[in-house]
Amino acid sequence: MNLFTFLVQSAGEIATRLFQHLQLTLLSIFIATALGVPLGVLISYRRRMKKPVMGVANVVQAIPSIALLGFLIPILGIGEKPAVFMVVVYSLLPIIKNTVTGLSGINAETLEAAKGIGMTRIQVLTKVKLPLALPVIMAGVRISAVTSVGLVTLAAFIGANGLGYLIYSGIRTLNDYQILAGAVPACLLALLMDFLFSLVEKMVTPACFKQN
Amino acid sequence: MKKKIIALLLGAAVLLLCIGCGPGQSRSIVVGAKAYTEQDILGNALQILVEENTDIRVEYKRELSSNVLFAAMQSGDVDLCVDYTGTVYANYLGYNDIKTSDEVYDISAQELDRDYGLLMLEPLGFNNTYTITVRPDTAEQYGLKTYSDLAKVSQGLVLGVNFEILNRADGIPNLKKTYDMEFKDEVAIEGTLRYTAINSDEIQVTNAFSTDGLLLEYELVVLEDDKQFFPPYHAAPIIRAEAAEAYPELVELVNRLAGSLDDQTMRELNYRVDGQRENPADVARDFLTSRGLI
Amino acid sequence: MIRFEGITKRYDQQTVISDISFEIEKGELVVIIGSSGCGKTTLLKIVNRLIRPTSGRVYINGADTAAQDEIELRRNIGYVIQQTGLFPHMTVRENIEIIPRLKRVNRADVEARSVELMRMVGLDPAQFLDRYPSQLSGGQQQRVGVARAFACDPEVILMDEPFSALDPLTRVQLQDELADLQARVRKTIVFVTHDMDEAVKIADRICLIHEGGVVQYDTVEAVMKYPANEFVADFIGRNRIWSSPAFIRARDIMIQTPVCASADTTVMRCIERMRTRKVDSLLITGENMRMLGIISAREMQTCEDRGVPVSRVMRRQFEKVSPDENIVEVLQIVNRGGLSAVPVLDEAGTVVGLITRSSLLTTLSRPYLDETEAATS
Repeated sequence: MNLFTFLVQSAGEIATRLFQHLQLTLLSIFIATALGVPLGVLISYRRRMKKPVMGVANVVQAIPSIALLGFLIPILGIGEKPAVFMVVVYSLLPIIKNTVTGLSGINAETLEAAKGIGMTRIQVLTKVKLPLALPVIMAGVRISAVTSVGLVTLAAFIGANGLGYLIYSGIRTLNDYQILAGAVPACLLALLMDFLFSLVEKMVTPACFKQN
Repeated sequence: MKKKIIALLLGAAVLLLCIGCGPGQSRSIVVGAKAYTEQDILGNALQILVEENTDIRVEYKRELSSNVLFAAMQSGDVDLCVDYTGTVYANYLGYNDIKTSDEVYDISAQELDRDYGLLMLEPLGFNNTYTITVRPDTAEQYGLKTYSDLAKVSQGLVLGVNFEILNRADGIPNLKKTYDMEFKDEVAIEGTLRYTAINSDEIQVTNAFSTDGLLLEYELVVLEDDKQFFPPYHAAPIIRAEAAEAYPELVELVNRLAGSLDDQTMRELNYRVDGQRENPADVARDFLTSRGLI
Repeated sequence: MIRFEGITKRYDQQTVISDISFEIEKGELVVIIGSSGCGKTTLLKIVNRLIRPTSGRVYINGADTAAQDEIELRRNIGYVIQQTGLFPHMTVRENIEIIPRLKRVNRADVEARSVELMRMVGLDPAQFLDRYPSQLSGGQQQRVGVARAFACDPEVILMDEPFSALDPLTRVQLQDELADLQARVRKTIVFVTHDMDEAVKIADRICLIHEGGVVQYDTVEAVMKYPANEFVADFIGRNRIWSSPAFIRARDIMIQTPVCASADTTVMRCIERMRTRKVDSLLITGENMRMLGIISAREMQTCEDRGVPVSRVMRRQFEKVSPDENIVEVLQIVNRGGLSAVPVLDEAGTVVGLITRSSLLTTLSRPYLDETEAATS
């Protein structure tokens, strides 16, 4: 059997697993962003929170994925839930970091002007800080999105679906075609994510920065 | 190509070591072991056994991959190791038909001697093959002893096994045919995460190697392969014929281990290292002492 | 309008402002000036509560600012800072309209107001309203900053060195425009700068701050003419007045005791008086030093009967200046009439002084002679 016939035969399975992979990735990024951005905002307002939050995010990042999955199985069982949890946990750090960086990089005088003309704290955040930090925040989300594609393959270790199943099954059974059938779509998906999120990044970049 | 490079590098390393040791260390052999607990215990056992009973100095090389170890045995970089009949038969000699344990041992021993100049000594006693295990409460509830027992109740159980056995033709697919099994669900779970999952009752049935120490940790029940579906992987020491000639006492000495390690004993030794974090060398020495071998 | 009462600001042990009290009148443009680090910006920011004073109070229209909602307070005070004060991600329109929109002012009114404000600061609304700040020159950005400060038509506007980042030409232009604008709208403006030229150009009053305290708070002219102490004199520059001749008035340069004669003095005596006093003209006065006429030495030489009263021969038509006319106007009058002297009369026509060509020369040469003195000493 050659690669072509293998691909034709398993086209249906590849497509299904690709779709599952995309779903898991997007779900994870969505949750990671929904958690990471508020955490980053919180840190930027409460300096004292920075060390503990960044510390936890860093430590969590350093836990080997398999060990993390081991911790999660007794709590979340097997399958998608612990997988998404793991990907979210690993994706948080770049999002939090970039949110903090983006918010702290804003010109102090711009912020003072915002305050001085009578914006409330919330208005300064939503009308000035977040719009100006958004390109940097989105760059963090973009990094997370791309790494998430890779991380989601690990979900296969604990019975979750996605392209990882093909890759690791292929590796364990020495089936090169199967590895390719999983790895190539995963690569393409990562590139697609990068591309899509670069578009989002451009979309949220304030017009004034685009000409520069 | 990569393997050859690794072998070459390894060879170069050994050569350098030999030069470093100088001609004064003439009575010495190299013991090799693969990169997992059981092999490390056995490698340590061989080293201690030889050093305590002879004046031969033993150099111990651990953490080798299976193929590198076999290449090193052929090239003379390693003189003595423990390997498994199924591995020799299928992986090194390239057979893929199913034979009985004795046939596999006989063919492997013959061809290693004839084609590779390696002597397969007497089996140690345990068979580290693929096996199927279940949660203790599941075994108790259904009175499970054998794979055939499992087949009768498997519709209500979730199988979680690693990718290799799940998808290989001679893995779960054929096992299910042979025993006429059907599971409620089959999921792939990799590595020791299987044990976590079975311990949390996410799955009830998983695969294991029969001497895996973690089986004791999680008190899993190993079922009997009553139709001998999985090929035999009996452990047996292998020595280079040249080394056996140079040090004739070695063959007799190593053969004293024959039959001294059954599945349960090996599992317990593995568990002392994997589960209780003991030093493999200490575990090996305790074992040899308890059998009066040193 | 704005009253500072005992304002003190301390950071840890360092006192930035100590016990400042003064009041800014409605409709005046007061420049708070001082060298960097003197506390002038801190004082400004205490007005809109960006900085909270350690002690003391600021009252606006009699109301204690500390008792007001700070957001509401700031929205009712215009605030202009250096060009970075514009939000780079918002268009000019969005920048100007942000606070009115947050206040939920009627949309049509807001839009009409934006157009009006743009015209007020001299920018074409159609051309600039939808641009981003980065597409504008520094001067244009600052005009937008001013427009934004006026958006809610506040009574009080604070400006914190708004023109300091601009090139000199644009700066001067914006200063002129601000002065014109202020002449029209008469807002109460507090303007912080370290640039004395700028202060002189735009200020009604100057509040000079040094080491956290007010050294002098007075009109520009008074500060220049009557510096409170050596520091003020040094800070404004001793010859600063010469770059603002409008502030040099006739009363400042006139001879305060001109040689006069009453109308019934004989010509003979007048000639005698001129000779002894070494002057070449006499002011002829009536009751209470009211000036009746003038006569020069030559005019008397041609007079045959020297026993008649001088009122018979004096010239009754003559040029005169008021004490408040400035040196430029005096020079114009002197030049136009080819005069050697011009009397300074008050509103009642009383002689208060005399400006002669030689007194003008003395006055005008002072900055150069002073400089030479300063250089040689």
